[in-house]
Amino acid sequence: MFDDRSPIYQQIADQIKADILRGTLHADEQVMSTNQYAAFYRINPATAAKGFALLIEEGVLYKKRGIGMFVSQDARQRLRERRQELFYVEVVDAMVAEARMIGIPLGEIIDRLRRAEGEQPR
Amino acid sequence: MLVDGEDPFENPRTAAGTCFIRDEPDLVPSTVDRVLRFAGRFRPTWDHTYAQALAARFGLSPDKRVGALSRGMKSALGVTIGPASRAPLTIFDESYLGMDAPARYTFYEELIADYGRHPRTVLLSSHLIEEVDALFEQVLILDGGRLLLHEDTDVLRARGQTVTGPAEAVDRFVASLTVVGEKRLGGTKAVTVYGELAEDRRRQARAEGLDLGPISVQDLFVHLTREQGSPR
Repeated sequence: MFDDRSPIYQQIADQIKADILRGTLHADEQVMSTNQYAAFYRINPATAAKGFALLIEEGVLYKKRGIGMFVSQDARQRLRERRQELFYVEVVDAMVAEARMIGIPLGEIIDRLRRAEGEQPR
Repeated sequence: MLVDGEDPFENPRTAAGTCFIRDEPDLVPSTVDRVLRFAGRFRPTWDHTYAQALAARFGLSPDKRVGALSRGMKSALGVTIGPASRAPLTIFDESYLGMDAPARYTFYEELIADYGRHPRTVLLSSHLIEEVDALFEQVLILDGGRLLLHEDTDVLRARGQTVTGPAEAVDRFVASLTVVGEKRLGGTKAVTVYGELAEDRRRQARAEGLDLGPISVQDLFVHLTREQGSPR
């Protein structure tokens, strides 16, 4: 279920962020409890709690005492901005490096992007 | 070893709060239902409804005789008694023996869910490290009866890594590190190191074209115990 690339709590946090970005989890919607999460993924509740603590620290989730954890109003917007900042470094620069390494001319990529722009109504 | 600050050997005070499930559970020769009732009689914290639900999940019928149970089903009865006892200290000593993979996963799921509802101390020993390491908050590694280490699982996981790349560059990089294992494939070398790597060292590794990879608790366990020269 989890790879060994990063700590499990980091992966849990990433999954919840992905759910928010995809729109599966909405603003002010309650997320599963740490115990539900732990039982579902067969992980220690303390590990799940670490993931949630991370999200609260980053302002992605907020806590209602005695009730549970909810998605922050501006979580999606903030996550999008952060991911947009990383996009050029992590996705575009990495793609350019890969293309150079295996000999794909950048012009070919640009053509393909143009075609994608034409096909995909945005 | 102390339980609650006391020597647990033949100690009625600590025994009442301890549930110990061995690899071959101690079962009175009777039916599943009566074994469960019998186990509950010694436990002030026993939850009989939960015991029955767990037994049903493992496919244990109440009127089945314990003597007729397979090895795996006997273990399943053991790991029914363990969680249902709700004892402040519950010990599972390789209690999974003979259980097939789906039954073991049911056990882990139930254990974690019940632990979430009723937090308490659970000690679980296992040789199947890969399938249980995510359950643990802390890990103790025993080797030949000796305590090799006791660490937070996450800390332990962060301690080990593999360094892979051209043999020469790898050797240079790991010269000052604790190497617990190495493999070679042609000009490529993969070395497992034990110890935390500071961020500047990680950057240095990347700059030298070396791949840093995580290592599983199981691999770490293999490396840490193999090097000690203990008999297998």
